[in-house]
Amino acid sequence: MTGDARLDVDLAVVGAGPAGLAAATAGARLGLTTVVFDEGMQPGGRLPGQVHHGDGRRWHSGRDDAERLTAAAGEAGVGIVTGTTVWGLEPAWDLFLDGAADGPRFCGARVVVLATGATEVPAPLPGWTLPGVMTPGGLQTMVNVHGVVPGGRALVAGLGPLGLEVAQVLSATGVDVVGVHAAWSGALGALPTPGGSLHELAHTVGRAAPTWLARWGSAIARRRALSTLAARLAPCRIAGVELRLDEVALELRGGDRVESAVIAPISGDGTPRRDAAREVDVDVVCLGAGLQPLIELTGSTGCGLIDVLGLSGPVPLHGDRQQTTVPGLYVAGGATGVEGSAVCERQGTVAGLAAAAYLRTPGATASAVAVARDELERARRAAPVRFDRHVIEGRREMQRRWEGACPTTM
Amino acid sequence: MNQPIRLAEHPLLGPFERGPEVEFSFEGTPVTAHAGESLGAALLAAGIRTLRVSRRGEPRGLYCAIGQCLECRVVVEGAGMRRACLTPVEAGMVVRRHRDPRGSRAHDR
Ligand SMILES: Cc1cc2nc3c(=O)[nH]c(=O)nc-3n(C[C@H](O)[C@H](O)[C@H](O)COP(=O)(O)OP(=O)(O)OC[C@H]3O[C@@H](n4cnc5c(N)ncnc54)[C@H](O)[C@@H]3O)c2cc1C
Ligand code: FES
Repeated sequence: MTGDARLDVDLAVVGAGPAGLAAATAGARLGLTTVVFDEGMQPGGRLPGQVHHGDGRRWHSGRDDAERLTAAAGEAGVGIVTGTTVWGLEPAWDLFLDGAADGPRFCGARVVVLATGATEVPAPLPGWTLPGVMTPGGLQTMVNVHGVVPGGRALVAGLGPLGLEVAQVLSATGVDVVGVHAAWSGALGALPTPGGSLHELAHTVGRAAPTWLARWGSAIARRRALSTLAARLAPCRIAGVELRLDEVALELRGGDRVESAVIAPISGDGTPRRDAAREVDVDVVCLGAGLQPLIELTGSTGCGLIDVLGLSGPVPLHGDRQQTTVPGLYVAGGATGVEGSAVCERQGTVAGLAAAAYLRTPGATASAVAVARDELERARRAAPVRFDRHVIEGRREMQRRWEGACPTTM
Repeated sequence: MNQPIRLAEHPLLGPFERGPEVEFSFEGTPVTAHAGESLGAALLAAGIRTLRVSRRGEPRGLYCAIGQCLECRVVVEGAGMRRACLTPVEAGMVVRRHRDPRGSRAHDR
């Protein structure tokens, strides 16, 4: 990048994850001058931390996908600016930047794709700020990206696809994973019953064939009497990891780092039985309450937001060309609802093509957009992991709400 | 308790390729790291978990490791307050814990 204080382009993309890189590549291939900003050290967004279950028994790293998408963007002529935070976004369009001392401070653009991804929902148990307590994403980054294993004895608190993934990876690196438990949400209400947790897991991670989770998950998804089954399954030990649907992590303790966790059985009404609590020694805690879309930057754009069941939190109201209620603002990826990386990538392509069509770019035809949209739907149906089991209905509902709100907009 | 370790090889993903070894300082103590890795990863690998001290004197460290929680704030000489998880290590960097400028009260939790 040059030291110019200002940069002007046709298409500016915020976020160099799979959605942003795919959007930028689609736009640049049609001849738009395109730049992507990302505050991370490298392009790829959350991909480099991810471990995917490829075909058969092979694992593959999200790092490979990140490299493929970055290379494609580079070949298409996209300028990728990392280490740069977009801290403001104003219509028609100005991006305010904070990055390298010799990097740009402003970017002017004719159209913008917002692809800021998702963020983790905090699970504020007492003691959650102790060093050694990290989110699933944090542990993915340390272990899978940097190869740094933070300790020897770990507790995973928070039931969900990411926590289970991290438990499995930690265990494979030789960490003693003492258990995967629900995390007590205190004032936020009663816990799901073991049967409820099992149901949720079966419908989210149960599709991640061909791992152990899948075989186990799809088996339980077919059963009816989940609570009886949960009672029988919990505790159960799978691939070196003890899944405790019947227990909840209540509190984390330590001095200058986490040293132990307090765990209690869940009673029939979904509250913890403090009288039967036990304390286990740990030096790592993986603590997460799921993911939510990261949409802060829409705040200053006047873009309409909506909370639809299945999309994991409020997101910009958008149509099936990834367009928002503000002309020239497109969204893609986790910022539109949390889904796996393959889906996000396809959404990015749709957004990039639609953004090019908005600028009346030759080649950005309705049929090109339609083809990309079909690919997106295929990826969505084939997704191995769902972060919310209602996501397919959520997408349908979003389209209905869009058509209700903006019937004439394409 | 176990000290953090650096894996030569990931059990599922294969060997790690790391940059050349470089040295920087944290709170006046030399730390060996690999060029290009994040300050947060380098400090954790060196067994240093507390990256800042809150106003109430609480130790804080890496939490999300992807730039979102701001718990990993450190002070890099010449660059000011930085997120350790997003700042690449460079040889000769001088890094300190971030402390509340008003000073922190002793552990009063
Ligand atoms: C912690 C975490 C772990 C995940 N793990 C998995 C997994 O194991 N498997 C799976 O299939 N899915 C996983 N996901 C779901 C994930 O959302 C998708 O896989 C996918 O990476 C999302 O793609 P994206 O391009 O929308 O966003 P991301 O890949 O999240 O990329 C967004 C990028 O935008 C950048 N950014 C955000 N705001 C700004 C700003 N203001 N200025 C500059 N840059 C900004 C971020 O630095 C980031 O690089 C995970 C999500 C999270 C948050
Ligand atoms: S650890 Fe969360 S911002 Fe660095």
